Amino acid sequence: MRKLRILYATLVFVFLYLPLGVMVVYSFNASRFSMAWKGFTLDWYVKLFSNAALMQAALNSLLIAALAATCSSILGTLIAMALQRWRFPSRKVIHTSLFVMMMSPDIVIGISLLVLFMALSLPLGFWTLLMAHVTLCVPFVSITVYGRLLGFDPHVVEAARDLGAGEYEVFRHVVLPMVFPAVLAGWFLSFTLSIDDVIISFFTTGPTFEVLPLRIYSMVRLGLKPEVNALCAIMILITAVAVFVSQRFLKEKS
Amino acid sequence: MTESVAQSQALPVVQLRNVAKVYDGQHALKEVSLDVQRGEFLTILGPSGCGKTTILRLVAGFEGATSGSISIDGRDVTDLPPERRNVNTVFQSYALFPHMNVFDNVAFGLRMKGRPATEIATEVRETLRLVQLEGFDTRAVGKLSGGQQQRVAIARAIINRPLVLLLDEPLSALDYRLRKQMQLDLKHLQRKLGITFVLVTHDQEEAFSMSDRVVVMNNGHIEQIGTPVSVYEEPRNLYVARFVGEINIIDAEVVELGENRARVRAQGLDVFMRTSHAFRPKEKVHILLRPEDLRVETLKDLAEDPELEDVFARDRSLVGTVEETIYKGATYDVVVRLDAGGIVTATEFFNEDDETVYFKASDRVAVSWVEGWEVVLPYEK
Repeated sequence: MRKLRILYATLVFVFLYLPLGVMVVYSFNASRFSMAWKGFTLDWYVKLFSNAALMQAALNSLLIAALAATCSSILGTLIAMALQRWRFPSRKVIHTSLFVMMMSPDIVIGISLLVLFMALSLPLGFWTLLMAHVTLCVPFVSITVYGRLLGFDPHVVEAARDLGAGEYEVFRHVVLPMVFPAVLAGWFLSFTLSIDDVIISFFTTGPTFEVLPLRIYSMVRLGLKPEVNALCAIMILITAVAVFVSQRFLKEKS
Repeated sequence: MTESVAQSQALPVVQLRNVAKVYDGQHALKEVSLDVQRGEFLTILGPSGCGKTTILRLVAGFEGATSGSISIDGRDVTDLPPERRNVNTVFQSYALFPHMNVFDNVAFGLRMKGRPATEIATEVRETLRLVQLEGFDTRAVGKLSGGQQQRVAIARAIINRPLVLLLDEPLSALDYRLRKQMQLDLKHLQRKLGITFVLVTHDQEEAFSMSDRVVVMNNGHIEQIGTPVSVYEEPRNLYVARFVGEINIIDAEVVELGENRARVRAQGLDVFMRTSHAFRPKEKVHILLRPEDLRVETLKDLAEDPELEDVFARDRSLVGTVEETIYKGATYDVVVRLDAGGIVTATEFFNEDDETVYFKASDRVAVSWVEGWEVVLPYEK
């Protein structure tokens, strides 16, 4: 019985992670074109780092991801706090629309943002991409932080005010420290969402500002290249670290 | 100078004037006026939903009054936020800051006031000693027992030396023994600090054992304010009488009126009763008798012992049959079905020489009481 369970778990993991594993293995394969194993090499990683255009795209991606994660963490936290604290008429609408945004297909968000930017005649590039990614990430942060806020004893805020804390002190010394793990988790979630987004980026950035997923996409149209395998292996590593860290923050103190 | 001090001493520390609170069209509080005297231990007693917690939240400033005014220390605070009122609250859920240790929780109020760190450290240590939590400074509050969390909540409030400490059912989450202990500790703490305490509870025993004065509330308004003794002995109406302890209610009719006295007919019995109410002849009234004020003797004993019959007020005794006896530990209840209808319960102490309950079911008995121990109230539907 125990063996059966281990077998089952192994199968699930193999199913999920075999493709990734194969790709990581091939990123070390010395053969350029064939799928056959021709020996271990780190050449593709060296090549990758000497590809200036690709590295620029990678830096752009990291920059956008970090900025988008930071902006949406701030915005999302403020939205969550407003939702929890005040009983205003459109509260339910905003709460529901967060879920709608989360569930909407990326292509719909991408096209609608493109239409908006065109209507405002904004040139596509860094700023439009940043705005698009913030839009993508805000709902995820809001929902995460809101969930944590709901878990608190609401009297804690009253207690702080009772002890002489004004609005700012309550936020600084009580609310923020209490929700901070959720904010941080939201930040890492946003970071990964932004860094691997293709569709929304495709519609909302221009030739002046290229991000990594789009660059890879255009590269693989001319056939798979081993550098791309190497790049993807690195990205898996970054994503895995981000997910691991955000889980740690959520678990801690909760 | 001395005169003004004396005046401020006499001034109620908290005054509620016609305060009403409406939530979603429902009156949580209907035009309540209440004075809290300086240094007293006042308890607001009532069932859940009677508005007692609303009063506390209005005084603390967590809620705004729909109408009326509230003043603290002679100053109108109706529109002031909680952080600018010189009162502190102990919450039912304790509401400790989960991300801070015991020291930081207790220090919070003084830090908000911007007091120097060394002074804060001394005061916190002092206050923790007062609530018997010495050496708990660095403990995480989530790791403390309910009773310890309670003490942290109290320390966190009293360290600010508030004019009034508001306590919202602070003991309801504790088990029976701990609750009894904390009742005593709170009372002693209040005497030691000289701070006015306003406590909210639904537990009549708790209210009586701690308070100088009790406010009995029902359905958003105040039914009676008085010392525990006066509320218990002289309830103003049937609601108060029933809420504070067991009571027997006998219907009667006024026959004749005298000065502070009335002759009433109850259960075929004509008796004089002490009353300050202005009744009219033929008016229907309730006679209220606490079980512990009733005296029961068997008809057999009365017939055999003329001396007993002399002491026993025969002219105000009701005859009936024992239905059952209920063992209560130190006392026992005798439930008597009266011949003229109705049931009364009498609480008896065990006689020193009796090993068992003296009365048995189906014993024929007479029930009596000392004149003046009854309460006569106007008839209520």
